[in-house]
Amino acid sequence: MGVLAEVYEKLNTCGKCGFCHGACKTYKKDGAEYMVARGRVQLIKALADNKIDADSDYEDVVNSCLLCGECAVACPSGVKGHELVLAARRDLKLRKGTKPFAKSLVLKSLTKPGRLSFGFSFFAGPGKKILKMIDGVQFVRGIDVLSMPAAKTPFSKQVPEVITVANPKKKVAFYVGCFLNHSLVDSAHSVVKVLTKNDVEVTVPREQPCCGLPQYVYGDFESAKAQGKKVINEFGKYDAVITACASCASMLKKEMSELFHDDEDYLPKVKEFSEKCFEFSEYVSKELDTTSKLKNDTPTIVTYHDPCHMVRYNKITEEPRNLLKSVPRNKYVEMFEANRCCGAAGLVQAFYHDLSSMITADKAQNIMDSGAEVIATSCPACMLKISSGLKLKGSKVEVKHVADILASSLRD
Amino acid sequence: MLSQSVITKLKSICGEKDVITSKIGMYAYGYDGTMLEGSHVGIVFPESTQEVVDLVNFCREQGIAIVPRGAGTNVSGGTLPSDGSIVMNFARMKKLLEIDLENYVAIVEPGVVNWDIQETLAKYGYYYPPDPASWKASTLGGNLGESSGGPKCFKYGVTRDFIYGLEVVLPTGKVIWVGGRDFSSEPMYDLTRILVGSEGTIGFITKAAIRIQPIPEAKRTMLAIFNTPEDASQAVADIVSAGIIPTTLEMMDNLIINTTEDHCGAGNPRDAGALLIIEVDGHPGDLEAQVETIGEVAKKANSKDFKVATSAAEVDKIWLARRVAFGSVARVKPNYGVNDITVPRSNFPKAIAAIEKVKKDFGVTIGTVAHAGDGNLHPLILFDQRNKDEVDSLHAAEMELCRIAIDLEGTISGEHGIGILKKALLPKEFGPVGMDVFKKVKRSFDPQNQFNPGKLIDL
Repeated sequence: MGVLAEVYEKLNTCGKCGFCHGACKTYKKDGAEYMVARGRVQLIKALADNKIDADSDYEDVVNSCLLCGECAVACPSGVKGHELVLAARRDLKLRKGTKPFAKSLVLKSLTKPGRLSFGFSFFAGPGKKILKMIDGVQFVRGIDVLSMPAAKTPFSKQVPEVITVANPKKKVAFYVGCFLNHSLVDSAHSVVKVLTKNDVEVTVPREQPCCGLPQYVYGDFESAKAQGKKVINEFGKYDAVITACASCASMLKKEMSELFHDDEDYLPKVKEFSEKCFEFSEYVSKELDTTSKLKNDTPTIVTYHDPCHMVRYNKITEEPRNLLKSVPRNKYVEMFEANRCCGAAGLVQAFYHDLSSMITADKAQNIMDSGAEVIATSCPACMLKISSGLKLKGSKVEVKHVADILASSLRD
Repeated sequence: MLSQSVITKLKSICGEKDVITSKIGMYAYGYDGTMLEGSHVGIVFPESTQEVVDLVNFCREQGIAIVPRGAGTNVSGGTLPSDGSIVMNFARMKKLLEIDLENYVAIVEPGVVNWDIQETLAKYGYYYPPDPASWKASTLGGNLGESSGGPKCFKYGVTRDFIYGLEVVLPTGKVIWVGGRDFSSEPMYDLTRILVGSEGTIGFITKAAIRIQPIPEAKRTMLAIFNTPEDASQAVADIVSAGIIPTTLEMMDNLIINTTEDHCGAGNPRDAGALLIIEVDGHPGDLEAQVETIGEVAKKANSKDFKVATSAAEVDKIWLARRVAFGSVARVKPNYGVNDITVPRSNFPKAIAAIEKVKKDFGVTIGTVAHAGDGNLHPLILFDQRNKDEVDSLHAAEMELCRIAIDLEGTISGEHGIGILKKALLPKEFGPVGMDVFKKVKRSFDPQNQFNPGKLIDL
């Protein structure tokens, strides 16, 4: 039974009522029983009981889960489907290693800043030039690759290590995260602007190790732990650590403790570290008073998309909304199903792109139906995916980070 | 196992992706909402009436039985596959074809989920009243198969009462439209009402004309707490005698009050014997007098407390415990058997007393929630599926509950269907003549016993 023995009791708690069918986006799009939490849980249990094999169909069932956590909200018996899928991914990793090669390459590259930096820099220059010469590759697997921003120089090397302010009231370290560091660099600058304009001294440590979430969610706990330790070594010395990526925030604040649950010696250090990590909007709402400084002449209709890691993993929902509402002359509208997954879900968008893009299309439609001119969110992966989804529908709605909206309302 | 040539033919009918014979598919379609397991030879996903017709014809020629399925949430084994059968999953045939507000009709395909219909209709200020607890998951085809009810069915009726007409594929492969499109009375035999609740044994529904209606302008939600379930059931009888037909009249007993408190701390008193959630809807001007009367009735039935929600948040708070009721019992035992015995409202207090006796006689733990307004009880029998003694006691207690229902002039199934689990009890409820008529109906539609064989009745 292997590692599945640890969750066997939880697998048994599923009473097969099927109430998760309404909550699961992959089921809603596919319609097959094994594409919903009940089916996934029953199959994981069947594998643990040696009733089925871990064949490629089984791998697809386990790897196509968005880990959005919506099934857990819907389950009357308190089964957390996404946690059981995570256990199954761990089990698969131990049985077979990380497959396919492309996934293994991506997960490894994320842990190697040099390789990552080179990759994005190459993409920003020659890479895009080559793509432009090939007709019909605007969208690759539902992602608008040609419009995807890529930094020739990572954000962390564009700014001084310590960004000082005249009268520092607080000091924080900025954990940038891979996407903001190499792709959505403007949003990283926005984060710094919002903080410094509010008299916060920001340190951007030169070393920015990957948080370990990508490796963790594909069951490579060893690599994830190594990353976790690197992060704590670099960032542990600061009083507060801010990140503006919902996924990184979730790893730093919550999931790292789950990852290290079996390491009694190190766990207290992880918990102590997690206590001082904050998601951007959480920190701004809690520690700063931005409202009086915000100015805006252009009335704009804004809506907000809840990243899964914000709403379900960390239950941060009001802070970003309140910040958006605090900008003068902004009209905030709530969209239908604001808190449902956008379909990005880490590497699901790469390996199950048809499914992922159908889910994104729903999100894009809901945004368009809301009448919003700007959709704000708190996760760079959601931003890129939603932006592609909107473009595929011919929509002109702009996609921004909450930090971008605040930053543009803070005048010099 | 299906031969390669049969698989190829099936794929030529409904497409490559709509035929599944993988090992995980075999496993995942071998169960439903019950504890039972079955085996089959493959799954097909038709996406149009024509595909259903072609599949039915081909399977008939091959002598393959077909088991229809929606989301597979039923709790009576109605969608459990039978050996050698093909599962026909309607989940990908899910278009909402037409909404006709002028005539209060919507035309839908069977795979559309009840909740998705509600969300679309809500944009126009309309809704479809049948609201089974599984409504966020269950398909309309499944609701039609079981004639599902829900909390609102006391005032409005069950699925059967909201169907104008149906497009049906018969076991011969012929397609008929039964009933009307936007009216409910018509000459000749009422085939619509025979088909609804027939659990896919005589025809496969491929379109349904459902009755929709405007969302009521106003509603009021009340909570009444009682010392004993007997007092609560007296209040139920008195509310209806006072000439009020609430939209919902839900009851929870002491055990459920406590498990829901453990689960979410809804704020209900743990020493209460039972509580009632009462909702009335209609024109705003009509509701105040009804609320007042219900308050007086509750007081006369010795209620400990009576509250009227004054905000949306308070409405949510009142409903919170009821919403988590089923799942909350998992804290006591990992599994529960859900029953849906239904008795005439006048016999409701007797049914409550009889459940108390079953607890003692069979040594089982039972928590009861009920759609009290129409005498529909859900005694949840708690057990651990890994403990054989507990499973045996569960089955014995369930049979006893069904016998009680029949003795009290009720029915063994108010809304969950018969499937496999309750088949053996039907002769007791309907007698030999009744069973004979049922068999003749089944044979006249499906002489080869190709559609969902072994469900409802054995030929």
